[in-house]
Amino acid sequence: MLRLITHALARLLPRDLRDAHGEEIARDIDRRFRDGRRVSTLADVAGAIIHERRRHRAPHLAAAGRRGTMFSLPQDTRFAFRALRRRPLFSAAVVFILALGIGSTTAIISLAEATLLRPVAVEDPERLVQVRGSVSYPAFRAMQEAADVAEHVLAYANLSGVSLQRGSVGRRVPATLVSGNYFEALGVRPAAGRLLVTADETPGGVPAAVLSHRLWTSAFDRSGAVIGETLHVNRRPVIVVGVAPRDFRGLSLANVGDIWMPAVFAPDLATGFIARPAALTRDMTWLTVAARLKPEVSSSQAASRLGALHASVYASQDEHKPLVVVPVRAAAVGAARADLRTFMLLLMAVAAALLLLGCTNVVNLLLAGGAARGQELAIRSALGAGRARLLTQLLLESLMLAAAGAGAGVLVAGGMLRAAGRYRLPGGVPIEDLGLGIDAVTLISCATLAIGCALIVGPLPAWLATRRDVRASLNQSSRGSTRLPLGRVLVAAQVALCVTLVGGGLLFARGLHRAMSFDLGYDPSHVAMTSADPALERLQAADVDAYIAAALARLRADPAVSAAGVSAVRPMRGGISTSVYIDGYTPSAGDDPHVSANLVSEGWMEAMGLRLLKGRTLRESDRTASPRAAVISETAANMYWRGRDPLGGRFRFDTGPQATPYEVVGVVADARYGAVDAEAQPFTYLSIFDPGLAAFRSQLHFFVRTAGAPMPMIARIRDAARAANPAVPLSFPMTMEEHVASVVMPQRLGFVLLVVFASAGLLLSASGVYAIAAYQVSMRTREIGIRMALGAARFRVVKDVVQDGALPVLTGLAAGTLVQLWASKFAEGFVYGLDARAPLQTAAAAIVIAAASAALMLPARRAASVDPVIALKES
Amino acid sequence: MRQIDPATHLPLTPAVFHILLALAGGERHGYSVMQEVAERTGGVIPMGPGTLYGSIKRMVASGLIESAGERQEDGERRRFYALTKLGRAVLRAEAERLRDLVAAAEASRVLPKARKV
Repeated sequence: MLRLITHALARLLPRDLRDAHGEEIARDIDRRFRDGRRVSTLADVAGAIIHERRRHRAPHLAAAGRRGTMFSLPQDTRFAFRALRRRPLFSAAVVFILALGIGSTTAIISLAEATLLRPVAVEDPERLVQVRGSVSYPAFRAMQEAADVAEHVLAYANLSGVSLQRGSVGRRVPATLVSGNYFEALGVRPAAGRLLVTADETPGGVPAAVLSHRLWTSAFDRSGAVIGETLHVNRRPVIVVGVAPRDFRGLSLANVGDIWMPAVFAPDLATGFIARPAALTRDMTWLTVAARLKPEVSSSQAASRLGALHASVYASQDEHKPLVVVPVRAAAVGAARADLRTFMLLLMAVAAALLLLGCTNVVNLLLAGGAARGQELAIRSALGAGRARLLTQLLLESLMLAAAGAGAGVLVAGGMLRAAGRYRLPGGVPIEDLGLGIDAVTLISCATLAIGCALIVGPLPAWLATRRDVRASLNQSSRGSTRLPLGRVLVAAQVALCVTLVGGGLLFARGLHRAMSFDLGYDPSHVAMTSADPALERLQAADVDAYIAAALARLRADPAVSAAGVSAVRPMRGGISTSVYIDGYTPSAGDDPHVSANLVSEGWMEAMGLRLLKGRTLRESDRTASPRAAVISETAANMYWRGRDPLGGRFRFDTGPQATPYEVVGVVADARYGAVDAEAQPFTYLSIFDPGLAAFRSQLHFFVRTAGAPMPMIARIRDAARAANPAVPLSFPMTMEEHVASVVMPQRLGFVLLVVFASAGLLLSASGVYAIAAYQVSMRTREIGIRMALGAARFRVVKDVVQDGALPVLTGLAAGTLVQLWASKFAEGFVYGLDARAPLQTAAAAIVIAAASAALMLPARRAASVDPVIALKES
Repeated sequence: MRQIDPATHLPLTPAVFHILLALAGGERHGYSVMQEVAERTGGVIPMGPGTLYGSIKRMVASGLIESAGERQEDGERRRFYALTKLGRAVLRAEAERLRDLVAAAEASRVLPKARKV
């Protein structure tokens, strides 16, 4: 055993000694071991290594018995900096590559941190849980008795929009109604003024309100004067008592409120369903309950206790469904958490791939650079710099490059996060609500990544560079050891990564294309939309009728408008779902017939471009007809009137003699209103002027179809609506194409990111291939010159260069394709309708080959244009 | 061939001196030198394969010893080394230097005067 170690150590002796006396040394080691002198031999060889190496470095110094000059870190740093400055192009390239990789990875880390790790900016979120589903106000009050399991039980309800007026200026903002102990339970401290307390729940008087930091900044300039001021919410006065802290976003990421008010005032403040006294009875469930559990209490304990308290309110009914309790962090992103997590993981994998790509590129550059610096290093070495010293210096250079890369990376990350603000993540979380930017998270990530990169990228090229034989480097005659096998392995790795990135990008592109080209059943092009909130102005039913009629009349008088209509529901944004009872249809056991419904005006179906299959669309006169007219979708017809003509068929929404009868007057093609790839649901369209359905009209949506570009029509809608009633707030002006596109936004975001990353990856890989090939050509110039002088055709020479460069590329291609096949399985659930992978792989491979070939062309041409005479002179 | 003044090689390190001394009696191979030095100095000068061949390499480069061909010994092919003329001269010069030193020490009564055998 010792003998093996000793032989291994002997390998570390300087090369020239080994060349001259290696055999003898080995033999004598064996002989001494046979003679029993083991430890002394080992010690002797070890000592010789140190001794000989020291001699080697600086023979004159070693003879005098002195060591080299002392380590001096500041001096080495200065050397390193100067060395980098001497090669500005090279240094800039490395910094650029690192900045790209570090910056994009940091941006994604920030995103992941904000959504998966820290979505809820409250004190100690670990002990917060949320009850799934909505409860009624009395039930919530009952649950507050659970002092044995919870320190606090709080409740909140998100309102998608309220009108906020200050003086004459009004705007629509999202709002949250909360229990009095909301802020106290979450451990939130105000940024200004004070937050809501239980005393604010006393009925009577003017409700207190807390503004969000975002609103305070954008609408009130962070002025302290707004505290104590009276604003109007949905035309009711409230007093501003304070401002929430900057990063507080409530408990659900997808609905960040801008104003918090006590829930007990709901009947007065809100509009829509909860705008009545019945809101505070046990018949209406609209609150989400959360609780801060006591330290030793488990979720299941809390669930059963809260469930029992909840049931106690409904003592007469025997249904005691156990409540489901989930941690607040998971609830924050809502139902789409699994999707979100997959999406984030995908993004992180992509960013990591790009970072790796960047690092390998940098390693390659450093390897080539190190070889080129052989002369400089050799001189330094001859002047007495120890290998450790040279290594330190090269590592310092790598660290400096990495630090510069990190600095630039911070800027890249900031820019990317800002640009991403206009996208949404899966689950409907708007990225700009996350308040991302250059903060502690980004800085720490950048710094850590930079150090990681320096550690990966620095040591190997530095080690290789300082290994070279001093004499040979000074001679600068290029010999076989310039083949750089390591460099070619790295190129192969780069190509593999690149193929994966490109393939991924194509996959997303394909998924996006499919998602956007689904047959929606209506035609979103050439349509402009705007939403109006008559409920926020508390218009009476008759006024709403007049408002709609006046606005539509104005629009229809416009020659540019080919069709105009109004609906109560926007496609892809919710709907009305209700039980239905159909004449002549007996539901099977356990079957509970439902339809989704929308209230529409005349002209709406034409504006949407819905295809009429049978009968007619709704008309103005249908509002008072009896039975009321209804238009149904194809699926509804097939489901509930199978085998008979649906026209003339009747149905109701309620049992009992008072239920209004509806009669089918038309059938339209199925339209996709929910998720783009969901199954078609049975649908019915009713008149928006139906008196019995006025409660569903809190929000209206104008749709206008035009022959030309839809953008200009948005202004027309606004003018017509304002002319009809200027006080009604308008919102969400956009073209329908934009609206539909926003639904597939996560795919778009993923697509954009992958395109960016894939392009960057292609660039990096191509430059990697080019760098290696160029290096090879320049090193083998002499050899090429000789061959050509001996009569080799240029073509052969070029072919060799290309072949040399092609091998790592092809290897990388094969490896990358395999990785891609594996990875696409992972992404399958996420991108719409994945299939037929082969064409995608081929396309990806083709793109990469094209890029690599282009990259190889230049050095190849240079090789071909080598003048033998000049080449031979170079030695 | 240039005449190299032996004095330029002085003082010799102990290792080099003993190697030259070991070869003074005739050609030897590496291991034999090691054994001889160990015996003569009683192990005070440690000389193992690592240190020995480093010195040998340098001494060959300086022209103090030369390779004397390969021969079979103990069933192995071994390389033998021999003193060059320069090496012999250097060895003698160093020995004289050391003798002068010892004489000076005796004169100062540091060492008892050696009796001629």
